[in-house]
Amino acid sequence: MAPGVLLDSWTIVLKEWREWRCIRARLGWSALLLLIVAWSFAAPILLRGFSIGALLAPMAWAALPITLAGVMITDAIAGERERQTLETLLASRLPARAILLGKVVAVTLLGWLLLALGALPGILQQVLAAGDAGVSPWIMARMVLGVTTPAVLLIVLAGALISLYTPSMRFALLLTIAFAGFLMLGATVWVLGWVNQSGGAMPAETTIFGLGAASVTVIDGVLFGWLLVATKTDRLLAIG
Amino acid sequence: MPAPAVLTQQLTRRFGAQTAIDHVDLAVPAGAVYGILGPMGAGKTTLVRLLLGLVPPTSGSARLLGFDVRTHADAIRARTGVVLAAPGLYASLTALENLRLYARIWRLPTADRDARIQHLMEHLGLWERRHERVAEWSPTMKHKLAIVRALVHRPALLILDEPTLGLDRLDQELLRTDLSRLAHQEGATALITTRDPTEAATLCDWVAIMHHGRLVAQGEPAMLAQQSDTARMVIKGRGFTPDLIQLIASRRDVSRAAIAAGKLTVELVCRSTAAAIVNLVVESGADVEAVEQCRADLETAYGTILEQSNGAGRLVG
Repeated sequence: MAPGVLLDSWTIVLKEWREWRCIRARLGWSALLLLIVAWSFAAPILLRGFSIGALLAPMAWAALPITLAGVMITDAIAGERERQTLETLLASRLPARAILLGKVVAVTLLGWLLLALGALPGILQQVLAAGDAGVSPWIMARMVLGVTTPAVLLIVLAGALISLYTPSMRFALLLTIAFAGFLMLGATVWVLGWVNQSGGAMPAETTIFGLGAASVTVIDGVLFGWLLVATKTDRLLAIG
Repeated sequence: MPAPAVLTQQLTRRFGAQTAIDHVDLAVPAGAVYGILGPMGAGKTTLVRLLLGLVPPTSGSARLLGFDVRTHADAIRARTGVVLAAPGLYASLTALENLRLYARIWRLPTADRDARIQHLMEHLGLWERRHERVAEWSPTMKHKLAIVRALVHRPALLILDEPTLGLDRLDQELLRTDLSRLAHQEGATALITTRDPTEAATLCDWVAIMHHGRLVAQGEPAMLAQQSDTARMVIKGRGFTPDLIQLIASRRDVSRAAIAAGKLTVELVCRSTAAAIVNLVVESGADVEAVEQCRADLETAYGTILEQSNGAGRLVG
């Protein structure tokens, strides 16, 4: 990708962050962050009763950041189209791909920040409790880095594609949240089904980690390629 | 003779079965303020989107500043300033933040950027309020800020899509004055779409009238008014009954008839029917004291041209 496009994308990244920062909802932001951190501590404790609860904890930590990332990317594309600021942006010298790439990067980095806020306190608690959930905190950390971190990117890419193909912000939001729910529930049911099939025996953490990380990364690659091909100004503006 | 800043040949855009832009030939001279005048749904916004390369044409060609919209849309947009019908400002940012964002997009050097922004904002009386959030501003101020944003990178071409839409009369006039002054000061070619003939006549050196996606007339505003063969006659007198006005208005060669302050004003589709109208008034028993006939202005001509072109075609926004 040309350096010019990256520079242009960075301009959009800064714009997106500034817009989020300037929203006058200090109480709302505080409540949201508090909820994410509280859930980080609560999830491993609530899942302790399950035999594979410790493996599900990273998914539980990712639930809020993944959903929020889906909402943010939909707002950044379909929402900006409905606020009638996207067309002016597209009428500037910025290529459509640079605009979309900037939005994807801005929301993904925000999503990762929220994921770090959601997972780090929980991992730290497990380190201090010497892994009382039955799984090494380092394996939990590896699950967060290898599986849920690319899963945040996955939902951002999916949300961007949904926003491209759906003219209404409201419907794009519904579809993106539905997709996020499908992704998280699907992964949980898949792990539970696997354990059930193996007669309740716990699969090796490395197997789950390897399969999870590989499949999410491959899907990320496919969605990113699709997004680059699908990005056209008339589609971004939902014209025609 | 310099090449036209905008040149389209048989430019056409269809959306399914609808033809939004129908074989449009347009030549905008460099340095001119050119108006595209048409009612809502005439295809003005689609034409703007085609010229900016936001929507690809179905057939035909368009060149702006020497660049083809199909192959060099980025180069065109890099040299063009745009104000669309919606100002397209970020409501949660301040006015200054909005402008700095676009200055960064246009990659203006920081020193030049700040001086340029201050100059333009002062020119439109916005500088004192630069740190206010745009969400708190009136529609007129937002439109002015959008104009500053469009000019900040010194574009060679300025495209304004209904820049005074949604403003009240007084604000429209104020904005028109500012626009006219700025367009001439900046020396840029300006293409302005509007549905208001007065605005077109006030602002533009040249006007093209658009209807059903086609250009149905173009020329200088005064020339267009003359070309249309329309005229306005004012009959002073007494005894103009509502029935008489209704009878006159119902004629095919009359586009409008109205009475105000004892004067009957009749807008004629064809100047030669004036005598017949006077006879009709006299036969109705009204007293005619004086008859004055004048050439139509652009507003009258515009109404007539639209009526004449009515019929074929479809309306697309």
